[in-house]
Order: sequence, then C-alpha cells, then structure tokens
Amino acid sequence: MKFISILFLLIGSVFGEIINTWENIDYAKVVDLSKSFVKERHIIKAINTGSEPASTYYFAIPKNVSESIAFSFASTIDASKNEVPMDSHIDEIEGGVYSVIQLPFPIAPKSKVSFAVSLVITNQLEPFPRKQALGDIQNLVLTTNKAPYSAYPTKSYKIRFQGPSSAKEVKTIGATDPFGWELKSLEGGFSYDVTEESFAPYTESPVSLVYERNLPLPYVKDLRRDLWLSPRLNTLQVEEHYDYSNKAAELISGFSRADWMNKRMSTKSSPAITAIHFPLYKGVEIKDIYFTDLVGNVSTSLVMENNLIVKPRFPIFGNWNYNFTVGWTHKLSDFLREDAEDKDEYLLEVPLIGGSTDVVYEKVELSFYLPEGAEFISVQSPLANTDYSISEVYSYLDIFGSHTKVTLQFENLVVDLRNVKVGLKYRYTLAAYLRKPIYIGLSILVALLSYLGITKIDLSLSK
Amino acid sequence: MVTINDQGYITVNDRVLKLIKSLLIVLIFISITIAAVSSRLFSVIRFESIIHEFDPWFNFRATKYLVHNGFYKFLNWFDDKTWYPLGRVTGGTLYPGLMVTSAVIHNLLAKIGLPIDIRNICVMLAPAFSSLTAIAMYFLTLELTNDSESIANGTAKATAALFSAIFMGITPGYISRSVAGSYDNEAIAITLLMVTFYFWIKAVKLGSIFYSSVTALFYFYMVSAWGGYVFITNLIPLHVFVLLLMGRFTHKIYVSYTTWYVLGTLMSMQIPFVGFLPIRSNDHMAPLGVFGLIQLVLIGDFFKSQLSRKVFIKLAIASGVVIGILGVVGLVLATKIGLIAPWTGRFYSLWDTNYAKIHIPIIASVSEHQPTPWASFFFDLNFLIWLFPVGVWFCFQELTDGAVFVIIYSVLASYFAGVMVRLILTLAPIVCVCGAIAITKLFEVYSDFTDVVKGKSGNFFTLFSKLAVLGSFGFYLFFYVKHCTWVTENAYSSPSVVLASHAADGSQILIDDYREAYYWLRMNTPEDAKVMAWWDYGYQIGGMADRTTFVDNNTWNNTHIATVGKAMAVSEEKSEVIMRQLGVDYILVIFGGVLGYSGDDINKFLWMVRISEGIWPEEVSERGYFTPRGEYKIDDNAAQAMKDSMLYKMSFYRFGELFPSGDAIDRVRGQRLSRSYAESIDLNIVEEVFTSENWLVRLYKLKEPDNLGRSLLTLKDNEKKLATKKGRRLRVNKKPSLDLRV
Repeated sequence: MKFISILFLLIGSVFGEIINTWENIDYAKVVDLSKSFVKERHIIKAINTGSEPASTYYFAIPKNVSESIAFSFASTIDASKNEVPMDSHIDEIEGGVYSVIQLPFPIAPKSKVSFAVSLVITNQLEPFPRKQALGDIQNLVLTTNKAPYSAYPTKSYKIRFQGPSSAKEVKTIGATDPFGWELKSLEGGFSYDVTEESFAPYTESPVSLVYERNLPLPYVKDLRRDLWLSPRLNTLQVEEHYDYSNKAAELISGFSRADWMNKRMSTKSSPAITAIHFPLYKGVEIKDIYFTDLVGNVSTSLVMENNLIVKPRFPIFGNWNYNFTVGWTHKLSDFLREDAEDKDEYLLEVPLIGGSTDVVYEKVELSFYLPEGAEFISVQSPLANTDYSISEVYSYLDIFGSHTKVTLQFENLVVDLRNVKVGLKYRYTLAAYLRKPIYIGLSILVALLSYLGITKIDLSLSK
Repeated sequence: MVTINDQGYITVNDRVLKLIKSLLIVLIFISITIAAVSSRLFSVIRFESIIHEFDPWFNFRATKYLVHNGFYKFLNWFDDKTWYPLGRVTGGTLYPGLMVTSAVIHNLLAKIGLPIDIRNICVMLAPAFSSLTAIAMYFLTLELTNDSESIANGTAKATAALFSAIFMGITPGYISRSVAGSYDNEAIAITLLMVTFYFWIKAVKLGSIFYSSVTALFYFYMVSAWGGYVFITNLIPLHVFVLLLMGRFTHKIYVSYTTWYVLGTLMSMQIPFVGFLPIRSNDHMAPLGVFGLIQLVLIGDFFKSQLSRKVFIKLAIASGVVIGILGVVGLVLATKIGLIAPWTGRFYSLWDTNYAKIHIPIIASVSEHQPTPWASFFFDLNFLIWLFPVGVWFCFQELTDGAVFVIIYSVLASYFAGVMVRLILTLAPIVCVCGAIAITKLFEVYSDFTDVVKGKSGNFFTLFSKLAVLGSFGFYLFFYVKHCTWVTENAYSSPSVVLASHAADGSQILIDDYREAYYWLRMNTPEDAKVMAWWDYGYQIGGMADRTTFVDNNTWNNTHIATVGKAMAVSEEKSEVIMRQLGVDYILVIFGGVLGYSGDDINKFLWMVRISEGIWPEEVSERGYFTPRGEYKIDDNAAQAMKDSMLYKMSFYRFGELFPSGDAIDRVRGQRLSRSYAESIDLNIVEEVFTSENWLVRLYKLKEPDNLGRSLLTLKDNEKKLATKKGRRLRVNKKPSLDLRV
C-alpha cells in the first residue's frame, strides 16, 4: 500500500498533482466593487466525478491577480447555509496559482459539496482615463474574468457585481471575447446574462469593465504602527506613521486653486483625498490625539462622533503623496489581561491596523515596545507576516535597561482587516517594575554626593 | 540660632542670615528664570514647537546635518542643495558655535537617558540661554559696581545686580531674538557677550592671567557663535585705549590685555569662517593696534622710571614720530598689496546709513538692516531707555575701570543701535545695567525712612515726595513687566512661518500656507527639483521643502541674486532664457493679494529690480516699473514693464477668477483690476502646479521645451486660436476616429 502511494506521489509529481476529479455543478461569482479594492466571493457546488474519495479542491487563481491577493478565505456551506471555515493556503503548482482547499472530510465519488471562497484583491482598479481635469467625474476600470476560471469543468454559472449600478465593457487590445453576454442592472449592482451552459477548465475570458466611482483610491505605501506599553502610567501609546498616496486619476494639468475654489471642490466628493477618517473604537478611552508631519503640527484635525478626522495640508490628488504621523493614548488596561496561571505574564491584544475606512496598505510594520525590563515571550498573528524582528530601544531615562521592541511586518493589507487582532505575551515582574525608579533615585543620589565630594576638594595652589 | 539678649534685642546667628540670604538669592534667580523662560514660551503655546523665521531654518538644518554626520563632516560640508549650480562651502562659511552647542546638549542628554528630539532642543535653546544671560548679567553688574561706592554703595550693589538681571530677563530688546524657536546665533551670543565682559572686567581688576584666559576662552566661543563678536574685538581694546589715555596704565591691564589678545586671536583663527581675518580685516585692526601700543607704553613706562624726564620726553617724541610714520605707511602698503581686506560695504553702512541704499541694495533690502525708528527704542526697552542716561551719569561720578567700560559700551552700542534695528540687541544689556544702577540709586535715596521713623524730620512734604517717587517708580516697574509681556506676546512670538488670524467669533485661525506649499514641494516633486524663489525663502525651502534653491538668505553672491531678480523682473521671453540657463524646474512666488499679507513678493519687487539693475542697468530699470506719474501700480494702469514682468504675471495669474461677479481687488495694495484685464493676464512658459489655500504661495513649473523646437510663446497663441469656434471645428476634424481603448 505504501509502495502504491509513493508511486502515486511520483506520478503526481510528474503528470500533475491536480487530478481532474471535480466538476462544478453550480458556480456563482460575486464581485464587490464598493471599496477601493476588489472583494470576490465564489460560491461553488462541486461533485466528485472521480472514482475515489477526494478531500482536496484546487481553486485556480488567475495569473494577473495572484500577486495581489491580500487575503483569502474558504468555508463550507451546509444545507442550512451555515458556513464553517476550512483550511486553505495559496500555493504555486505547475506554474499555476491555486488556493489549496482541504475539505473537512473526503467526499465520496458522485457526492456533492458546497463551499465558498472569498478573495480580497488589491491593485485591480485603475482610473480610466488615467489623467483628467479637475472636477471631472472619475471612472475606474476593472479587468476580471467573465467566465469561471477553474481547474475543473463548470456547469451553470452566474456572475454579479456589487457596488456601482452600471458599467460598460471596453475592448482591450488583442483580446478576443468568446462570450457576447449582455450587461444588466440589478438592485445594488449589475450582472451578466450568462448564456452558455458549460465551461471548459481554465477558460480565460478577460474583460475590462468601466464604471463610475468618483472617490479616491487611498493607498498607504508604508505604515509604521508603534505601540508603547507603559504599565506604570497604564497607557498604551499608539503612533502611526503613514506614507499616504492616492491611486485615483491624476490631474491632467497643474493644480489650480482657482478651479478648486470656483467648483467648490472641497465640499464635493472627488478623486482627491481631502480628509482621512480614523474610526475610533467604541467604549475605549482615547486622549492626547496629535497630528503632525515632517514640518510640524498640522492644525486641521478634529474628533467627531468616534471618528478622528484628519485633514491633510493639501488635497491629495492621484499620484500625489503626503506623509504624516497621528498618535493617541489608550488605557493599557483596556487591552491587557493577566495570564490565568502566571500572574507575572501578560497578554496584550490589539488590532493589527488602526484606522481609515477605505484604504489599501502596501507595507505595514507593527512594533510593540515592551515596558523596561519586560521579557518577551511570544507574539501571535492570524495573518502571515513577512518579517519578524526583536531589538532593543533606549528611550527616556533608560540608563539601566531598555525597551524590547518586537516588530512584525506585513504586506498587502486592506482596511477590512482592521478587526484582526494580534496577541503579544510578555513577562513583567514587580522587580522589573521597581527597578527603574530605584536606579534613577540612586543615580541622582550618587550625582549629588559626588558633587558634594568635589566641592570638598581644595585645588588652590597657594598654601 | 536665634537668641534674645538682655536688652530685649533679637539676634540671629550670622550663618543663618547668610543662609537665608543665599536662599533668597537662589529663589530670586529661580523666579527670574521662570519669568524669562515662560515669557519666551508664548510662541510655543500659541503656535507650536516650531523653528521661526528664516535664518533659524538654516541653523536647524545645519544642526541636523551635524548630529547625523559628525563634526568633521560638518566642518567640511559642501552643500550642493543651495546656490545651484554653484553650491556653498557651508562648513567654512558659518559660525558653528550654535550648532555645536545644540549637538553637544543633544548628545549629553542622550547619554543620561534623555533622547530629546533635536528640533525641541533647537527650539528651547534660546529660552534656556536667556536664563543664563540673566545670571551672567547679575555677576557683570556686581563686578562693574564692585569697586565704587558712589555708583552703588555696599548692599545696593547686589540690588542693582539683581535689578539688571530681572530687566535683562524680560526686556523685549533681547526677547525679540530669543523666543522659543528663534534658533539664531544671537540666542547664545548675548549670553556669551555678557560672560566675556564679566570675565574681562574681573581680569582687568585683578590683573589675573587666569581670568583673562577665561575671557579669551569665552571670546573664542563667542567668535564661533556670532559675527557680532567684532563688537567685543573692538570694545575691549577701546576700553584699554581709553584707560591708557586716562593715564591709568598698570601692569594689571597689560597682563590681562596681552593674554586675552594673544590667546583670543589665536583661538578665534581656528574657526574656518574667521581664518586669517583677525590679522587682515579692518574690523580687527583696533585690537592689533592697541596690542602694539600697550607694548610701547610698557617700554615707555620702563624708560620713564630709568631715564630723566628731559631725555624721556625727547625719546618719546622721536619714537612717536617714527612709529607713527611706519604705522601709516605699513597700513597703506598692506592695503595696496592686498594683505588687508578692503573696507567692506557693511562697514561703511555702519557709518553712513544711506551708503547701503545707494551702493549695495542687497544689504539695504533686509528689513533688520534699516535704521532704527525712535519708537522702537521705547518699544524694546520701555522705561529703561530714559533711565539709561541717568545710569551713565552715575558712572561719571566715579570713573573706575568698570565705569569707564560702561560708558564706552553705552556710547558705542547707542550709536550702532541707531544705525541698524537689529543692533538694539547689543544695546539692551548695557541699558539694563544703567537702568538698574539708576533705579537702585533712586530707591536707595527715596526708600530711606530712617529720618521719618526717628522723628527727626517730621516734614510732611518730604514724606509725600518720597512716597510719590517710590510709588511712581513702583508703577514704572510694574508697567515694565506688563509692557514686556504684552510686547513679547503680540510682537515677538509669531513664528512668521505660521500666521495667526482671527475668525468672526474671535477664535484664532492659523494660516499655514507656507508649510502647505513647502510640504507639497517636498512630497510631490522629484528630489532633485530646483526651485527658484526670491532669496528670503531660500532657507525655508531648504529646511521645510528639502529642495535645491538658487539663492538664499546667505546672500554671498550678489550676481546670482541679481540673476534671479532679473528672471522675475523681465518679460516671459527673456525670463525663459535665464531660467533655462539656470536650470530652473519650479518657481515659487509669495502673493498676499487674497489674504492682505503685505510682506509678499510684489511689495519686495522693487528690491529685485534694484539689485538686478545694479548688474544689468541697460536691461532693467527701476523707473520702468512705475507709472509715468511715479505711482507703483498693479492694476489696469500699471507700467508696461510691470505688466510684462514674470513676477507680476505669476502673482496675478487667474486672480480675477476669484471674483466671478466683479472686479478683482488686491487686498494688500487696495487696487482694483478690471475683470477683462485680470482675465487677460496669461502665462506661456510656465504652468501653475500648486497654489496654497489662501493663495499666499504659488508654485509654477517651467514647461519642458517644445519637442519640435517651437517657442512656447507662439505655441500657446496657436492653442488659443484653436480654441476659438473655427479652430475648434478644425481640431475636431483633425482628430482620428478611434475606439475607446484601455
């Protein structure tokens, strides 16, 4: 038996791992375009056409989006529409990219299974045209597959778009469209009239859809989120450094303040970012809010109904940049709890990213600055981080000890992940708590005593 | 400690009294420090912790460079981001004292566990040093009055010293250059000035090599910090010279002067920017001359004691003539050969206030180089200005070495303060000393009620007059504090980078256009973009926008400034040639017409014209910018040269569109541009890329040259033709029919 399985493995590696055992008998694709990134949900009902039970489903991901997946998620759907998460991971197999889904149990031949795959994809939306005049309505173009792109044959297919109420198909150079489907408006979106009944595996049908979206495409090139823990003051200081940009349509000519004022652009929605919102957590105390950039304080920020609204120095048009720092202070106790077993161990749970309502992050660096003398135990993140480092940082009055800095790096995140929590465990004893004030007191005492000693020394030459 | 003797008198132990006294003095100093520092914090409280004005931005940038790159790299710093394409040997053309001081403080604090941001150190440096100035002032006054009983007797000496410290702590004349954020050389230089003088007076009094070496050390620190060190360089020899003339030559003076001169000069020559100036430049000839003179006096003194009177007089006359001739010939020859620098313009402008206006407009164009109006003496020094002569008069009562010093200082500083507004700063300390002396003397006399108490003179009028004088001077003192606080708060606490204005409901609005535009430049232009602006904004662009500039507040190259001025003053066609030669990418203009901000470029325009006229008199003429009736107009009737000029067009381009229903009104100059005229102001060679919220800063980009080599001026004309009805049809026909493409 072992021999056979090894043989299969070998065959698999030579002839291909993805054995065509499935057929999609029902496939619905829902594309959500209501934000500045694309959310896709694929609801699939598949039947095992093979002769053996199968437990792995290879969900094919088109090449053009495989680099831009911020997040993917798969779950089974049972008869009463309940969803249970499944194990899945993205892998490159034989030159194609797949989300390898482990079904919770092997599916017998001729049996069916229902599941959903959700993808959050960034970098898919582009302004069309790329440059436009101030005040023009912006259109975005999305390139996606019209037909199901699957490793397996598909029967019965539906596709629907959410967000904009209508869109127009544009022809791309060199692309041939095998499907002449009509677009029709729906409530809260639009869809295609699918006329074909069956689709071969890996059907490529790229289509570019243009739709109106007169809003910016906010984009953070780099976010450095620093969290300073101070049990002494019971504070959690948050400081976020943003490299902000906008992927919306660029201005065709220079920015004219006269046009901006005459068209009353600051009161209208436009592709320019005029304010950045940071939703604050409800029920959590927040104070000492500041908003600065490299040349000093920016006086235009305000807190309104659980929203910190930050107005950049200038409206950020397409391809313009602005960097800034916002910070505030929370109560540490709102985020910290003691370990049940060991009273000296603490568990901190904080959101991975802080603010904004609609934004894509290219790079996020999350750093924890532990209290002086605290011992780092572990850090846990539900999302895979690309890098991880521990270093020592010296801050105010850190003469006899430093802050341990734990840094996690992430890439390609979207604002929807702001509820994802990162957990950090550290040990902080009473001795460590007392050490700093004692040492500071001692060093001041030593300084005073040595001053006294020095004044007693007589250096005069005449005796 | 406290005992009651058999006669019922309470006697307190000597040591306890001393302790109480020193505690009181410490308390007073703490109060002075609090007063001095807190009044300088108005700017931080009302605005923010920000570097002020223009020069401090350079100092701040240099300090950051020093902190990041170390001292040796700093000394060898060649800055290619200014004076493009020439660059500036920055390390060799600045006074490093200020930057080194902040960097040392920064590093020291970091060593003891206080890693304070360098910006905050720079912002707080001036207030911190102001409290040191007050302490130095205390010791200086104490030293000056020390050996005279008629200037201030016994216990009054400390009172006078404390008064001078208080006055100095909050005098607006000093605060004007030392509020938080005013990170300029003067911030530490005034402290050093006081300390140097204190040690000098002490050295003269004691004839101590130690104290004159300390004087030299602080003199060196001063040289490294501020160009105003020349004031010490000349004041000390003048003091010695006057003492010699008064026949007060002693070996004490000889020892202290020669020690200070030799050590101080050698040390000052270690500063790259100073280099060999102390033996070449005219500013430094006085100490050299006095140094020679004092040797002769010493020799003379020696001969006088050895020879008979008759022989000595003959010798003195003969050697005097020989040395006089040799000296003059030497001076003339050295100037001719070029060993001694020619007399500089700034020097002449110190003597003749009109010199600069005629010969060097660049110096005259700086507002702080203008002659001082009378009002600003009162504004900056309040009631001290009229107590000042009284104090000087008291010094005449007993001409001690210290009193002579006060008199000389007063005379020199008064003169210079009258010539240049900013030199009120050097006058302020001596005014505080004299004011303190005068007021102490006054209080000494009028607060003496022993006669009244003992019932010797029951004259009601004596009592009344005493109380009246005390009351009025008490009021003056009170008013002084009020005045200083008011002036500090309202006149000297604006960072000038951020402007404050008031909304209709009285709340404060910050106008942050400068930083808005600078930050836009920093964020949205290529890192090597070169920005042309008038030199006032050079340091700020370097500091805040971090972009290359052509001219800045260093103003070392008049021709370069004139070139920029010419590019602003001439027509588009000519300007394009200049800008392409310079390599301009962006142009920044300050326009206050919307906001009513009078310090804008149009109001500075005449200086640009004058400076460029100085170099190209045949191409630019100041007269051409005035209307035939001699008015400076910017409306429909403006002079043709004005209307054609690049700066004018860039300021008013699309200004008319702000007034959709009528004529455009310039709120600074109160002039009206008719609608049709305002719309006709057009630009061809540059493109507007950014204008700040209140139109204060406008940024333009020099267009790329046309691919086919056509002139940008004709191109725009063609475009306009196409924009007409007929042209539009033409254009539509020309357009090829293409499908929508991605």
